[in-house]
Order: sequence, then C-alpha cells, then structure tokens
Amino acid sequence: MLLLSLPFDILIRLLSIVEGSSLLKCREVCKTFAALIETDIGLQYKLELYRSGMLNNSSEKHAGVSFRQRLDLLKQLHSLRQTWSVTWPEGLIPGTRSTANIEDWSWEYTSKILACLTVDSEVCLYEFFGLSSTIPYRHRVVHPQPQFGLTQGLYLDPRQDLLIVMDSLDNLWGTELRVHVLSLSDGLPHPQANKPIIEVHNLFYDASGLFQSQIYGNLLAVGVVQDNLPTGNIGIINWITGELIETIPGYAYMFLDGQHILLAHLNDALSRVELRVHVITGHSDGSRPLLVLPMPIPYRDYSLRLGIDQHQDDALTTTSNPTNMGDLDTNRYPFIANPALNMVALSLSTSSRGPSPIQIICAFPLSSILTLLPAPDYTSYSEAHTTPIEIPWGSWAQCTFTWPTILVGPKMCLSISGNRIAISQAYENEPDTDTDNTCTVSIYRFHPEWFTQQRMTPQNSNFLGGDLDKPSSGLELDDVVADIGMDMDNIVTLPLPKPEQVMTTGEVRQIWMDDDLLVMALPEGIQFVRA
Amino acid sequence: MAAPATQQIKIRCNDEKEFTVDRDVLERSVLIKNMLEDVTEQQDAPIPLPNVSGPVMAKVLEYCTHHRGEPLPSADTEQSQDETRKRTTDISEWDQKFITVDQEMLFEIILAANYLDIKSLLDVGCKTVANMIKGKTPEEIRKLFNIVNDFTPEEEAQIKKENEWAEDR
Repeated sequence: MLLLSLPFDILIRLLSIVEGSSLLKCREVCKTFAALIETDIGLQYKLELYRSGMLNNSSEKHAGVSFRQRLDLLKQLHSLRQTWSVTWPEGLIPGTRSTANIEDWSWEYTSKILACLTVDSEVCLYEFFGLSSTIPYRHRVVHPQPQFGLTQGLYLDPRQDLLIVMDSLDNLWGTELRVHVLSLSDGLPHPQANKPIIEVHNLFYDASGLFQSQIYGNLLAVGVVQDNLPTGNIGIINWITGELIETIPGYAYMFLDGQHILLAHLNDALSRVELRVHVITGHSDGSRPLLVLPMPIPYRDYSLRLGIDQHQDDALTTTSNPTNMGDLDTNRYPFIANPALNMVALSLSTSSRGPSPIQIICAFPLSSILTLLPAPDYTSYSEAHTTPIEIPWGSWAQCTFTWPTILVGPKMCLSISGNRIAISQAYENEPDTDTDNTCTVSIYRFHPEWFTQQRMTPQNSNFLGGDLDKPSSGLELDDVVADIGMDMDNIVTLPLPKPEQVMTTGEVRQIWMDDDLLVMALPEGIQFVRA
Repeated sequence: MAAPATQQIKIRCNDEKEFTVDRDVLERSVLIKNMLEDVTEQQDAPIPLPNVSGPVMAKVLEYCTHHRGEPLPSADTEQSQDETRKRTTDISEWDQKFITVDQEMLFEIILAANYLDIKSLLDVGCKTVANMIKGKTPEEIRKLFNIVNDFTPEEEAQIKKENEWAEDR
C-alpha cells in the first residue's frame, strides 16, 4: 500500500498537520499533493498564514519584515495567479485539427469549476480543481444510451446533480427535440427523473437551430433560435415528471423563475421589440403575457436587423432580402439575467454589414420590471390575464447604453455578475488578410447612481448610433418616436462608461463571469482571468 | 450502558480471522460503539469488519487495549483537540514505539483507524507520516514514499517560482 492510495480526506488531514515549510515542499512533490493543497480551504489558509509570516515556524524568518512588506508579498503571490489557461487535452479533438469546434457550453463554479461543452457532438465534462495553471483537471466524455443525435444544448446544475443535454433527431421534419436528463456525477440517467429522455414534438418549426435553456428547480425552459427564422415556441418542461407543462410562443427567453418567464419578443403587428413577462401556471394557455414592455427599438425598416450576427454570409443576404423582417438573434446569448443580483442586460444589433452597424445594450435592474407586476390572483387566473398590462419604456428601464460599433462583423457575448457586465466583441478581419481574428473583452461596472434619472434630449443622445453615419434606410430618431408613440422625455440614454478592464485575446466563443473570475472559451482552450 | 464491563464481543475481519475482545476495549472505535448501541439484544454472531484484515486488527486492538479506560474525545472537546493537533506533532513514548512499523502497516493502520473511527489512533498515524515528511526536500519525499514526479518541467518550474516568494526571505 502506498501513501497516495490513501483516501483524499486522510491525505488532507495529514497535510494539515505538516508544518508550513514542509507543506510548500509537498506541493512540489506531485500533482495530487499540489491539487489537494490548492483546493482545500483549510490548507490554503494555512499556506497563506505561513506565507505571510504569521505562522509559528516561519515567523523567525520574517522577523525583519514589516506588516506592509508581508502584504506586498501576498499581493505578488496573488498576481502570479491572475491569468492562466488550459488547452484541450490531446485526443479530444479528432483528426488533425488543433482547435475545438465548441458548439455549446455551460459553466458552474462551486467548490471547483465545472465546465461542460459539446465538441463535435460529444459532451465533455471538465472539472477544474483550484485556480492555478499547475492544477490538473479531469475531463470525461458523457456517453448516453441511446447515442446523442446532433447535440445542440447543454445545461448543468450541480446543486441538483443535473446535466441536461438537448439534441434534435435528424428526421424528416426536423422538429423532434430530445431532452436527456442525466446525473452530472456519472452521466447516467438522473435518478429523480421519471423519463431519462423527454421527447417533445412540434414545439419548434425547425429544431436544428441553437438551443436556449434555463433551469429553475424542476422547471426547464427550452427555446430554439434558428438563424433568421422564428422558430416557434418556448417549452416549459417539468424534467422530473417529463411533462411539457406549458408552451409560449416567442423567440428566446432570458429569465425564468418559479413563477415568471421573461421573453424577448418581436411584435410583427406593431413592428417593435418587446420584453414580455409571462406567468407560468402549468395549466393554462401560456401565450398571454402578463406584462408587455415595449423597447424603443423599431424594426420597421427592412435593412435594420436586430440581433448579433454569427454568420456573415447570412447577414449579407438578410440585408438584400426585403422580406426578412429582422431577427432577434440569440446565438450569442444577448439576453442574460442574473436574478439573484437584480440585473438584466439586453443587446441588440443591426445588420453587421448593413449601412450602419449599431449595437445597443440595455441594462436595468430586474426589480424595475418585477415590481410592476400586479399581485397574483390565483383564484381567477383566466380573467385576470386576458389583457396584458403595457408599460412604457421609460418607466421601467432607467438606463440604456448604446454601443455604436463601426467595425465589421461584430460578434458579441455578454455575461453579468453583480453590477458588472462583461462584453466580448470579435472583429473579423477582411477575408483576404492573413491575420487572426481578435476579440476584445471589456468589463464595465454599473454604478447605482447611473440608474437615477438623467434626462437627455434626442439631440445630444447617441441613441441609435449617435455620431455614426445614419442608416441609409433613413431611419431617424423622430421616426422611432412616431412609430412607437413613445415619450422621449422618459427615455434615458447614457454615454457608455469607461470600461474597468479591457483585454484583447483570440476569438472568444463564450464568456462567463463570476464574482472574481472571467472564463473565456477559445477554440484552443479555456482562459481564466481574475476580474 | 447497562451492559457489564466484562461483556465479550466477537468480531470477524475480512480474512475470516476472528477476535473475542472486551466490550470497553472495542468501544474505543466509535463505529463499533455505535453498532453495539444500536443492537439491543445479545448477539452471538460476530460483527463483520470487511475493511480490516486480521494482522492490522491485531495491531489496532493492541492500541485500544493500552488506551482502554481513557476518556473518548467527545464532540465538545473536538475544537481544543484540533488546536493541539495543529500545534504539535509530538507523540507519546508508548505510541511512538507502537507505531514503529513498516510503511505498508502504517498506512493500513491509518486506514483502519479512519474506518473504525478511532480518532486518537488516526492522529498518531498522521503525525508519524508528518514527522517523516518534516525537513525533507521534495525529491526525498518522493523517494521515501515511492511517489512519481508527474509534473512537466514547466509546471515544476512554475511551482518552484511561486514557492520562492514565501521561502528564503
């Protein structure tokens, strides 16, 4: 029997009585020791104490070092761990390619970091221990029975040991959705789920698009976004019973809690973008919104495309095709809400190669919407919700930022944590140039004061592009006002704040931000940045 | 509680080796103590201990017999016990002599103490290993415990660099 064959909890117990200097030595011995020392909170604390000279057997060494110097020492140590990255392990990517085709990914950050991504229709689960480049990570591929079809969507929830993999069967109609309810720990069917595979028919017109999903307890909301095409409904599924409990027409949802679902909606009849709040009841026709919140963004004009382009060629055809009414494209997760932290951000962009690429980011506190909701009346539900309440923009969204972008082919990802928002924008170079595509990730911090009313007149507002060339379609702010009939006095558009942190990196496929960590998925691997 | 102190309990290890031991000696193990408290009627069948082998159990019983009658660490004293454990790697003379065994047996004892929940014995085992590590270089530690260095040269250099911030100042 060898020392390393002892269980981890015994090894941790053992390392916790090793003195500070020996603990550092143990870290150099092998990966197992290093991983244990860098993940166990108790050992970390002990090490920090030792490093700062506050632990017995190092105090003599540090006798001449002042408290301030010790602090500096700690700072230097932390700075060494600011940024690191891992590359995809060998064998993960088939063939001769050196980069992974990341189709979807999902993140959670508990005591360790869990990453789940689909690479070439294989679902790979990564567990990263600790936050250091020296830390090994485990990865495994989830093999379900029967095999995954064209894998499209992932969602993981470690609190419920839940891994949701959504795929569509390649059949004649292309409208079959399968939801695999798996256990995160072993990849087998989840023990609580009545059906390991939930099959949903006719929820979407075309299930080959990109999946959007969110989980709240036993509720799973699924929507599909197909490039340039409305794709039908959002399904709310009880993954424990395996029932589809509600169907809501819409394009993409952004936020689900036990009672409500927030949707981005394109209202064809009124040519406007709306945020809608639906109530989840489980027994009703979910198509009636409880609350309608019109956005001051029309799509009356054919050349105005809402959304963020992923496919440049499509964008070109879109602009030349007057029958396409525009699309709220959620390929890049333009909708992100962090309900616990009361922030919502929404991004919309016009055609990337259209006359005037414009991106608009709206950010506002979630409570500004939810407090507008009438008190639920469960006794007379059907009558109460026949007429949705419509609330004008200015009274609920107190803050909007516009991103006038003049670069070609913007791709964008958003992530919110607390009052910070991380935005990545990729700029594709012209096809003829050899240089790699680059990406800028900026982190902005919203100050509470920005949410207080600051009135701006249309003249000095950079709403819808500001100083940029005006869209050739002749879209004017006055048209917008006339179209929606909104009161411009109530619209507050602020100049973009200075970013707190900016970094330039390779082509970012997805970003994810936590309190102090920014995670970026690149084709070559995962990059972590302290943010 | 009402059981007489002389009650004899039979246990059987994973290699079919059986021991008949005084109940108070066996109750050094919190695991067995709880098992015995759950059983109200006298049972003749031996308690199976599938995770412990005969030779290791003999060693563990030797420890338990020597320390019989000493107060068991309760949940209240856990905190102060922890403090002591952190402060010192001292081991009493008898324990030191007792634990002077080969590595194989040492780890088996640690594993058994963990399984049987004999906190003081687990501490003695862990302290012994900690003392073996004390003052050694990483290479010496690897050699001592037959550990393979699985770092790449770059990873090793990075860790060394990080450790230097704390050492030799």
